Amino acid sequence: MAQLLAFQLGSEMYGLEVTHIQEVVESPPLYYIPRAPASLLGAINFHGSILPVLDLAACLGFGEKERDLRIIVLTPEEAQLALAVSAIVGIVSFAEEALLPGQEGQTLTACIRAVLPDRGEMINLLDLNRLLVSLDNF
Amino acid sequence: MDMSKYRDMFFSETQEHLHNMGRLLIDLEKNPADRDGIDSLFREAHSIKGMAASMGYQRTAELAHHLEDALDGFRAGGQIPVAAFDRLLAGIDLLEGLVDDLAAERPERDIAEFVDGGAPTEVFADLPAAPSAELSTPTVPVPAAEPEAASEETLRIVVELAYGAVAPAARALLMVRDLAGQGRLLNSVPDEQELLQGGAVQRLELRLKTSRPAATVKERLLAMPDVARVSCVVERPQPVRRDARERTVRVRTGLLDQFINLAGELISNRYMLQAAFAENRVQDLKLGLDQLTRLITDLHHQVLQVRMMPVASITGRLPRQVRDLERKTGKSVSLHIEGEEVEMDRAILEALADPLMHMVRNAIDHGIEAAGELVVSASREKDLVLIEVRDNGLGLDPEAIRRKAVERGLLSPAQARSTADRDLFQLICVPGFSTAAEVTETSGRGVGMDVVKSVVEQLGGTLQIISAAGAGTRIQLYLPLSVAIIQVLLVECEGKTVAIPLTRVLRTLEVTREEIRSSGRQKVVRLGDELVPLLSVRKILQLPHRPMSGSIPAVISEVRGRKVGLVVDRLVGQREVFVKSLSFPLDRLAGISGATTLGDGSIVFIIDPQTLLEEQAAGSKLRSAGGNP
Amino acid sequence: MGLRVLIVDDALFMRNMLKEIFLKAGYEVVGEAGDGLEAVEQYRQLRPDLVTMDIVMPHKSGIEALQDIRKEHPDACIVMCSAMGQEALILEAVQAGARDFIVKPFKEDKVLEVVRRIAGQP
Repeated sequence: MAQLLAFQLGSEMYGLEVTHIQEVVESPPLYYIPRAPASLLGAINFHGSILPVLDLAACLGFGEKERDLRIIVLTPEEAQLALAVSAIVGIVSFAEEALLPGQEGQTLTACIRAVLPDRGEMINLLDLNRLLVSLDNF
Repeated sequence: MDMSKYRDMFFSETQEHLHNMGRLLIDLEKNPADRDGIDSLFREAHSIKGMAASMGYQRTAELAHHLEDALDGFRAGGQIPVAAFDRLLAGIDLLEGLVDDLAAERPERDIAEFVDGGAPTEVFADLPAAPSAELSTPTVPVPAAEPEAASEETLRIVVELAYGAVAPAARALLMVRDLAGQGRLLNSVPDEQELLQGGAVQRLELRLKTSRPAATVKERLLAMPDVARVSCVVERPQPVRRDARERTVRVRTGLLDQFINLAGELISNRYMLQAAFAENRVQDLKLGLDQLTRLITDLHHQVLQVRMMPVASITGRLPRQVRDLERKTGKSVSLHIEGEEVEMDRAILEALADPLMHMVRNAIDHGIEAAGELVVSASREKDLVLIEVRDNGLGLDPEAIRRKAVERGLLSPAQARSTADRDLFQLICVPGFSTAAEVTETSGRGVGMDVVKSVVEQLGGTLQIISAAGAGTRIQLYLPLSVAIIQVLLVECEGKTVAIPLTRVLRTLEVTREEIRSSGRQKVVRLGDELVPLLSVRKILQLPHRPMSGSIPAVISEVRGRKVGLVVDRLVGQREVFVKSLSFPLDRLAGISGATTLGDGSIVFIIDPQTLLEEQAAGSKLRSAGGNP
Repeated sequence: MGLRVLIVDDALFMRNMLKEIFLKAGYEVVGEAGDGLEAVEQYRQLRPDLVTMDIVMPHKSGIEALQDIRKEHPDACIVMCSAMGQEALILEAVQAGARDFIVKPFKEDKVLEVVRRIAGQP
């Protein structure tokens, strides 16, 4: 069984495998990044590393203004990056076989790797790779 | 794995191979074109190399490899040249000596003299270049360009191999080779050397400079077997790249001893402070803090020393490169290198290696005529190092640059007339701007000075070009000694703090409303006999506008050789900071050269005013001129 | 478990090292060959699950032996053993049907990683 961290983006539920997450940080101070795109909320000082915080909802086109004060820090192997989401929900266990392919087209723009049905709800599994590639064109 | 039990086997097998090698060589001397004989000899050396490498006997492995390479060359040539026999025999003798050393548990004897060819090297000199063990990032010459392929872009490519792919490392290697044929491969992770180690490669990341469209490159990759996914995006040009590979430096042991002494002193200092604190002795606390300040200054100084390397580490390659260029262009160039002993921070030198090479190429391709002189010099100028590349060739023609600048819409005819030559020359650093009529293989399409300039500026340095038609060209790079620790000026706008490197600051001043004049629609202030334009940092950083009132703090900086006044809300003060380089995705933001953490844990980004302003200018000017993006 | 391996290398030293690695991992070393000719012969008789094949060998090179074996047994699973500086040969071998390659000097974990991946074992 694998585990994911489920979180809300606007009205949708997203998830990210816990293996990609280093830590969830409780409301760290955000510092100003000059001339950053609007989707970067600022930078945090994470044990001496300087990590930008990406507003995931804004980045994926959700108009949501609500934001959880907790910040998701990715493992350094993925990227020097932290994510802000609308609301963190919790850990969900799942089997890789239970994943369904996302809808073509949707998966591209919304960075969805697969969809996990969970007690009547759908959790979109975040496609981290695609998200990072999209950051290439800041 | 316990290798000790293989030790005896290594000696017995190696003795046998060495014996065979000697015998084969004597036979071959009578019949130097005996292919089977050369083959066998090659295999013997190869076997010794493999075993020695397994045992961790480095010099033995290296020497065997060296002989193997030589023999491989002879194999390709079909025979062993008469003159090579003595050297091969000497090599076998040396191998025997090494094995004796190992058997007696002595350190392996020196082989550098033999391998580097203190002895007669000419014999092996004409061999096809042996694959060097140091070969790291593959660099492939830019293929002959099609005339219309003027716009090259850098693609960032990620390939994911299918799960269970056959020989994934080899597949990846084939891809790397194939991509290298489609342009210039800037880097790949893993790189060729790592791929050659085999193993379970699943993901390949590359940066490729090519004139082919991203879609074509992607399709070609997808057509290869076992490829699961490919992403291929165009990267915005950003020349200084800090790769993730670990860097190492050699440190003199004397310096390490000093570190240990310092650590000792710091420990005593701590005890002294603790005692003074416990007993409430304020005078001793003050004494201890003074001592701590001195110790930290020492430590800082020594850490910087560790990172220093002589300029020779990057000029060492120049003689060879110039010789190659001479051959290619048919020109005769006499190269002089001065000040190689000047020391600079390792990171700066590494970043400068390619730009330096580029300037040298430019000088030979476009400056020097049939014959000429090229001087590369380094010298200390107070806190800076001046690196200069000087040729006595054609020089830049200001009129040709004026014409071209007007043609390309970079300057209006009036501006072109009034711009001083010195400022005008900076235009050759605008991407795509080149006055070289023809395209040459070595300098590409005259691109390159833009890269040189932006590398220099990202390092916190400046670039100047001095030239006159017929009187040669001097390109001067003024660089800081070290990037790791720099002096910055902290300024504040809209409650946000940013840092400006002090090397970018000429002075600061408070301007009163009365001193501000309007020239055109531009606010200016008189400084001596110069009118300096005032630019709002709020505007540059896209922060909300605020009307100026009272006295206005401004930072005088230089952009393209011209003074500008950067208006801020507040000057916070000067600090010495440790610069942290930025990694993806922060490194994608233009105009930010790094960041630093202040004593209270807060983060401040270091901005480069020139790049920020040029980004703005480039946005409007080049678009309206229809030039290259 | 019980993967049956044929080790081909002209150096006894190298064969012994590989053998130790395989035996420790619970594989069965069913045969050893010292050159390409022997390798082809032994493959016919033993039908191993996996062959580790050195490239530089007398009489018949590893690549020739690979081609000969694959001609008779197209699904033969052969891993090439190469030393530094033999990239051209590695690529040639992979295109001729080698399943993967391992590099000298042998590192136990690298060797097993490649073999396990090919054998489809965790």
